[in-house]
Amino acid sequence: MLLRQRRTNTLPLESGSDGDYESFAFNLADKGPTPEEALAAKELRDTVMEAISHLRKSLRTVVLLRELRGLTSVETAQHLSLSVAAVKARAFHARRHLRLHLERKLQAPRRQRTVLRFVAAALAIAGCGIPAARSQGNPGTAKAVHLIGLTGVKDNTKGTLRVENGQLHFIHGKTSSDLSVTYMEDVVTGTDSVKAVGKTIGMVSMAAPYGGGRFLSLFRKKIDTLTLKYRDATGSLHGVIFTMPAGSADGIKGELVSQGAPTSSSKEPNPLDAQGSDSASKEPRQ
Amino acid sequence: MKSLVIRCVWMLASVLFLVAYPLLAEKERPAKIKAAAIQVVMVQSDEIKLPAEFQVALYENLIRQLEKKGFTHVYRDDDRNAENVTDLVVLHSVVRGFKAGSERTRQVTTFAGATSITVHCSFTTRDGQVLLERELNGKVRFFGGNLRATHDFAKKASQVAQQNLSASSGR
Repeated sequence: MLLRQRRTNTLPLESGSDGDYESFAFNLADKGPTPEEALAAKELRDTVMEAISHLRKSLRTVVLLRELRGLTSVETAQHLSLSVAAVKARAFHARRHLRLHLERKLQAPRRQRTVLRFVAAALAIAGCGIPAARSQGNPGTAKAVHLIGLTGVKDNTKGTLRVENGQLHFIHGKTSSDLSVTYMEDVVTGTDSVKAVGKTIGMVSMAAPYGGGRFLSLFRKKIDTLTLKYRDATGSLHGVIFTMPAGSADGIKGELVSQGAPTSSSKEPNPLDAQGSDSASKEPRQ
Repeated sequence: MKSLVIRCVWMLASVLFLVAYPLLAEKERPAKIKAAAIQVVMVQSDEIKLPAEFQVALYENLIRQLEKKGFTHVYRDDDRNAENVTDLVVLHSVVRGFKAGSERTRQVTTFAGATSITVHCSFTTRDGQVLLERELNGKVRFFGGNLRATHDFAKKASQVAQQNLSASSGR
C-alpha cells in the first residue's frame, strides 16, 4: 500500500511545466559542499592524517584519543595509565610536530614562488650586464669550516657554502654535501673568535719564553657561526655547525630564510654576551 | 719448619684474597640495565639560555661518543626506526648550568676563563620510567675553544652509559 502511494506521488521530470521544473530543480540542489570544497577538505584531512601518521607512537595515541575521540586529559591519562601531566606534555609535543609538518606542507608553494622570484631577479641582474654577485660579494656564498654534524664530512673540514635552488651546498674538495631547505628546522647565527695565529704555530708558541705565546693569543680574529637543525627522511633530528669569516653568516642565513628555511628568533639576552665573553649570538634582543 | 708452614698459609691466604676480592666486588655491583639501543633526545635548555651552537654540539657529541663506546644502535631524536626496537633506552638531557668562559682569558691567565656546562641526564624507558639519573658537567680549562666543553660532557655521559647499560645487540 505504501509502495503504491509513493509510486503515485512520483512525477517524471519532463511532464511538468517550466516553473514546476525550476522549483523541482531548486529542491534537488545539494546544500552540501561543492566538489572543490570537498576536495580541499579531503586534501586537508589527508594532510593532517599523514602528519599524524608521522608522529611517534606514544604521541600519536594521545592525539587520536584527545583530538579525534574527544577525550579529556584526565580520561586519556586513565586510558593510557599515565599521569595527566605526561598526557599534556605529549599533547604539547604532538601539536608542535603537527604544526611543523603542516607548515612545511602548506608553505611549499610559497617557497616555489620565492625561488621563482629569486631566479627572476637573478635573470634581471644578468640581463643588465651587472655582475652584482661578483662585485658586491654574493650573499649566498661563503668560505666556511664544518665543525660538526654533517654526515660523511670530517670535523674541521674547510669548504665553501652556497645557497642555490632551495639547497645549501657545502663544497669541500671535489665533493658537495647538500641539504634541502625543506628539511631544515632552524637556522641560527652567532659570533665567536679564534686565535689569529694558526693552530700548530699557536700551540708551539705557548712554549715561547717570557709569555710570548700568551701575548700572541691576545690577537684574535672574529668569526661567525651558522647553526642548522634539520631532519632526515626517517624524521631524525640532526644539527650542523659551520664557522665562517665575520659578516658572512647573515648573508647565508638571509638566503636560506628567503628560500623558506625557518628560523627561531632567539630574542632573549645571550648569557655569553652578559658575561662579556668573546663568543656571542647575533640574534636580536628585547 | 712450623713458621715456614705458617708463612706459606699466610701467603696463600693473601693471594686468594687478592684474586677473590675483585670478583666479589664485581658481584656487589648492581646489574647493568639491558639496552639493545639508545635514543638521544635533543638537549633541552628551557631554564638556562644556551646558545644554539652549544645545544647542537652537545647533542652531536653525545651521539658520537655513544657510538664510540660500543652502542651499535644509537638513534637520534624522533627517529622512526626506533619505534619498534625492544629494550630501547632514551637519554634525556636538560642543561642545569652554563658558565660562559673566554678562550682568550684562559690562554692569557691559565687559571681563569673556564667554560663549564652542567647537564642533568636521565636514562628512561620508552614510556618515561626513569632507569638512571646523573648530573654531569663538561669543562674546558686551558686549551681549546668554548665548544670543547660539550665534548668533555659527552665523554663523561657516554662513560656513564657504558658503565650502567649493557649494549647488547639484540633487536
